[in-house]
Amino acid sequence: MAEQLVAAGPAKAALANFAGWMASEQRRVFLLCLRMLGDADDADTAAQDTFLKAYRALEKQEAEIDDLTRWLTRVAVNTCLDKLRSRRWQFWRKRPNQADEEVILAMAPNRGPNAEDVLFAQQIGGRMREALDRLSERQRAVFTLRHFEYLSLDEIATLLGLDVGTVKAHLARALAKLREDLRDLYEARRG
Amino acid sequence: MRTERNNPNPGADAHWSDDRMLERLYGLDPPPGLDGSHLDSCPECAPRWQALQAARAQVTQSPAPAISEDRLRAQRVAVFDRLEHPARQGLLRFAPVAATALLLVMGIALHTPRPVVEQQTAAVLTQSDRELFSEIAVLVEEDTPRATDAFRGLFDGNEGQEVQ
Repeated sequence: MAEQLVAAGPAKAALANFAGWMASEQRRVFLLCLRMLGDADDADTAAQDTFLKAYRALEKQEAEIDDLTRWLTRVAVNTCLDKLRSRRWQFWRKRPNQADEEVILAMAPNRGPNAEDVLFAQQIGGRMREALDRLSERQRAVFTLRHFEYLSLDEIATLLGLDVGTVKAHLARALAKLREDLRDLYEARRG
Repeated sequence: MRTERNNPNPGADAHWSDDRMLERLYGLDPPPGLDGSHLDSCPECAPRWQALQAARAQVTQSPAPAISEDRLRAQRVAVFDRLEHPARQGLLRFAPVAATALLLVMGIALHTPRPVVEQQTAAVLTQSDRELFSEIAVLVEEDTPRATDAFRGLFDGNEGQEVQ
């Protein structure tokens, strides 16, 4: 039975063992959502929405899915983009709570046990989140996929349904904005 | 020294700014006039470029942040709960819309201008009213009907006169 399902395609196999497939992809999807949204609660909801959409799409067999991982990434990115768009209207949003801050700060690179490095990593984490908040949705998506997910520009273009040139333009603007926002941090570090 | 910053048309030997190096690091093409091979051959730019690449490599090689298993388990439970009870989730999804609609209706109701009610003023008797009422009183108190006035005039006005 299991062989038949696998032979019928990865999508059917994922649907047949949805719990197992979700558990295997969940950490990656949640991290992606967290990096794109910068808020653990929002990332929780986005990850849930991603798997719900995935389940329903797999159930309906809407499209032929060659690469399940990439397809799921696309679902997650689009879900996050929707959330970022709707966030524009949520003027009452408050800054993340302490627990969320810790999760987000853990995303900052920490090169060693050196206290100065740890402090710097925490500073970067907090400032990075604020700087990412100031990017447009597309810029944020492109930068996140490039910086954290290490996707190539072609892959990002395919994922977001954009031209490579457009992806490059978004990335260039994102880098310029981030450098401008974080200039004092790395200049202080360097100086 | 020629640098990309102070020269609008840098040549292949121009030094790269940090901005350009960063763009290059993320896979963007260098602007016209800048040669990528310079980053490997220039004694000034090569160490900076290597340091930047090393920093990037540290980021990519750093382990993913720890996420508590409880959080992931709660997510899975929530997903299956939403799959099993889609109607409830559907209703919850419309809650903000319903709340917004309610607020809108309340806002419209509160801001709709009310019709102006004219205050009734107390009746004040004027001189003409008094005259009218006294005339009516006189008429009511008369014994003979008013229709006989014409005939009475024939006799009252011609008393003592003879008909020729």
